[in-house]
Amino acid sequence: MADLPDPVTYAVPGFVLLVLAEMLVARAQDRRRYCPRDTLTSLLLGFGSTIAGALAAGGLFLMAERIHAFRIVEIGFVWWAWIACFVIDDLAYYAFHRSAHRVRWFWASHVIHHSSQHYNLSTALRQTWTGVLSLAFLFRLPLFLVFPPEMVFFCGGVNLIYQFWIHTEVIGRMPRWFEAVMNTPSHHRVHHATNPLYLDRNYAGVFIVWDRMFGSFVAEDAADPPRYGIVRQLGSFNPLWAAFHEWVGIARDVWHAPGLAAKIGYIVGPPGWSHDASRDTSETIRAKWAARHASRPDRACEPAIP
Amino acid sequence: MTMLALAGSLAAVLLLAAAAHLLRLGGDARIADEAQAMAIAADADAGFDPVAAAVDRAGMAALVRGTDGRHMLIRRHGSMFATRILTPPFFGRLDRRTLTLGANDAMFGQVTLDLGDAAPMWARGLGVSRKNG
Repeated sequence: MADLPDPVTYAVPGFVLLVLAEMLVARAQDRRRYCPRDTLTSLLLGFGSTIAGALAAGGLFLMAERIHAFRIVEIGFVWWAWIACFVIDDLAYYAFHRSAHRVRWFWASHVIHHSSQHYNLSTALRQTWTGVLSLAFLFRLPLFLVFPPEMVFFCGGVNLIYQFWIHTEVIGRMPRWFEAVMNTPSHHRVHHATNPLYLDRNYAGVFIVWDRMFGSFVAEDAADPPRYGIVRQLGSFNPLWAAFHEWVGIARDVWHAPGLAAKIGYIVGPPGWSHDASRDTSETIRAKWAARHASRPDRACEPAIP
Repeated sequence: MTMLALAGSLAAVLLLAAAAHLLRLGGDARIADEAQAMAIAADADAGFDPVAAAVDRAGMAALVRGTDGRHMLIRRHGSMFATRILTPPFFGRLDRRTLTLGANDAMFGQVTLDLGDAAPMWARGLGVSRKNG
């Protein structure tokens, strides 16, 4: 059972058909759900990510094999190992994803996925080009001490496929039991939103229970419709800028930072951190929102932009 | 990844991009009035409390002043809007009824707003002269 296929490769035709179907729904319901230039940027970023992933795959698999040589148990490919591997891999994804929003070095790679102001199935394909540089693979390494690398990579692929369909506004809410356990379009809309109360919430990949367990869950509120993108919207459809802008930002900040502590802070601090507190993190944004809410309750929930 | 898969992926990218264009998705986003401009500004920055706004005659951009005296520039970005706080030194130029502003962000670019008779007043508020600011 050494040669497992990459499930994502087989899912690509399905991705294309579902994006087309969602476009037709958007044409019928709300054309603003898609913007052709934004869609092209998302797709080009997805295309570039595929190439970057292929280039890195060999090295990552070799590293996984090396680690697996020191495995602490011999499980093999028994049926229950697949379930255990999938669940633990999803927990590792939660840890990675939370870090990707709380540590700027990881965020520099992950921000690509959040850089669209739209939330549709093409946004799901807007994936990183610099995952290797950000060391995102570190979070998955412990799994190779238990599970065969082929199994871990296969489960990771299935996890990625699951996350595709939740990038949509077409689906409102799933049945209650499903919303309680699984990540859903509603939960993930919150994750992609820049609304102060939604920032840095709902990191789950497949099982939303991780967010409920670790205190990062927020439910979507119909009175506070999500506004998508990043705190400082890119204002550009240039895929190169989308892929590298935060790395450029880190380089600039480290260059100009006064002293070693500030330089380190600009690398490992949360996104928005600055040595003089002149910028906003998600915490300060929430605090400012709360202050405005307290002083002017009538402005607490601004009307949705028509 | 084989060359065939690569070519197929690129073909799919072009197919979907063409479909979005042919289906005329996106719409024509415009800022309708001052209230909408201020709502966009308030949504964009939790620390920005808008008090006044001027909207470009075509609704493609707007300039919003906050209670703390700062100004936020809004411009259309596809079918959405993107914003920048104008932090000195920024580019500014008044040309009769139009005001051209740049927010120290090359990728955001410069924005020209047709503000009609209100342009000189907003230019004064920003410290922008008829020459480069």
